[in-house]
Amino acid sequence: MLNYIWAGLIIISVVFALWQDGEDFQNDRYRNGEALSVQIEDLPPGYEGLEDPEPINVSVKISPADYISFFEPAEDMDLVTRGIKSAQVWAEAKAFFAKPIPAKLMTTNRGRELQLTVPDALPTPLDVIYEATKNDNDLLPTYLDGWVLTDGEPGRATASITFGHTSFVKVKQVSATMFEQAGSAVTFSIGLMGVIALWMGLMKIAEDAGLIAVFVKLVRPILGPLFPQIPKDHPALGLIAVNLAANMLALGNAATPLGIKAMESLQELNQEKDTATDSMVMLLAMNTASVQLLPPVTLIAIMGLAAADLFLPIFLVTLVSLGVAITAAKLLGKMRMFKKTDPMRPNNPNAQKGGAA
Amino acid sequence: MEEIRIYQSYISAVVIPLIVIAIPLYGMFKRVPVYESFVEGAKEGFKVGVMIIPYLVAIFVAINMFRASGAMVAMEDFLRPALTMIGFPPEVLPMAIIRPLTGGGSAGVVADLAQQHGMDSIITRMAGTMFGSTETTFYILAVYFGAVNVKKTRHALPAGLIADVIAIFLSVYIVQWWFG
Repeated sequence: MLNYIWAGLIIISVVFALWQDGEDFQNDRYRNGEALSVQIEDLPPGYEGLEDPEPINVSVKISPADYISFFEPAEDMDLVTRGIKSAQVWAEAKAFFAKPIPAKLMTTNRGRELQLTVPDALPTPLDVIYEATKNDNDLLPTYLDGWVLTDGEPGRATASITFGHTSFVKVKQVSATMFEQAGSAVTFSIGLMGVIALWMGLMKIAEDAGLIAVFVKLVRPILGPLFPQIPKDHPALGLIAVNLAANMLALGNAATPLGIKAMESLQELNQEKDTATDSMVMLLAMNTASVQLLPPVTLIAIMGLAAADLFLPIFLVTLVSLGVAITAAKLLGKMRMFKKTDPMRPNNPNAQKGGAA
Repeated sequence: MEEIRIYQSYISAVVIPLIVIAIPLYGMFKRVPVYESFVEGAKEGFKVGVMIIPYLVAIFVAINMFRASGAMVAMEDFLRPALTMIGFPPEVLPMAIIRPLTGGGSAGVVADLAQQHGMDSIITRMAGTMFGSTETTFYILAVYFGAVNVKKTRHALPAGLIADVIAIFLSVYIVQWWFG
């Protein structure tokens, strides 16, 4: 089951990303290779637009209307499918392009480049283009298609620019995430180790000091009625009590071997060795829904002191769920389909020798 | 109610320091070599720390790929109306699905939510409470019954899962009510 969920997550991620990229491609969402007209201002005096030996600082004005009509799909399909969300995006664009954007004008091996500084959140879909194409200095590179100095207004020019080629954005993001998260899982676990070691050291002291025995006294009296098939003097009851006590203290590593011992002891009483008895089912149910006085180590390691806030909610939840587990085990055991497979039923034809009569 | 909350905040503040001094004290009282016991336990802790790495890698990668592809948002949006009706935040849904299947994996989910939403967020608290209050039912079933070669488990799985489902829903409601 887990196999399907895990593989499903990965497969769906890649397929979903491909599908979205395909849609972006079909709608030409990022307008690859198309030119957007902009105003360049603050050119140095006497600038004639020849080769630039040094990058020069300018400011760029993009009219919100141009930007909107540039990215807005011809058939308006985007606006319809994205509804209000899209209207909001365009409103953001209007606010964003109200101010001129500082930029650097330079010549690179790709030709004339106008690199825009990105002050804060960009409007969609320019933010996606930025994430996909930004350079090492976190500037947004754009390429000058053609440009004309404005007559009579020194320091100004009209230009058309194209953005860097943007495609397979989601798929690239998904693969980048894959590597990034594999690394971060290891860093994360190494960060946890100290706290896990601290807590498990403390719990080992508790175990060695016999703290479990203290809780056995609490658990013992309620066990008789829950396990009616176990004779009063049988050691199984004691083992179950120790297992549940260890569970209450979240001593998982101690609880599991104790639980297995309890199971082996219950197996001695079992008349049909490959089938679970009511007592075994009850032990299992109580283990999966044990009352927790202390949360498990891993939770403390992950959440640190924040885990302290959860002691009480966890205790309350487990108190109820233990009740539910016990009731469910008892009631389901009374159902016909489970009752007729009870290994302890009278005159069980499959009863094996060696089981207690 | 408000008084209980204040009281609880006092308990939260002292519970961990209290455990940290009470256990060695009790150990010394019982003549346990506390230092040696501690070190022995801490060694185990490192094993646990290393043991969970593969689980965390598997879960971190799968869940975050799912998130990066945009499928997570799409799924949450799709399920939101139904889940909101029962007061269940869609963000903790992965936890509810994964919890009975894998202990290490669900620890990964809590850690992931803590990174995404912050340690003190209601989402992380819900996931943490789920983690603390339910067990890896399938694992326990496999280990306990496997150890004694029992193959017909009868009503063990349904009983365990019923308790898990109740605990998962209660975690959401109790955390919501408690931290309001």
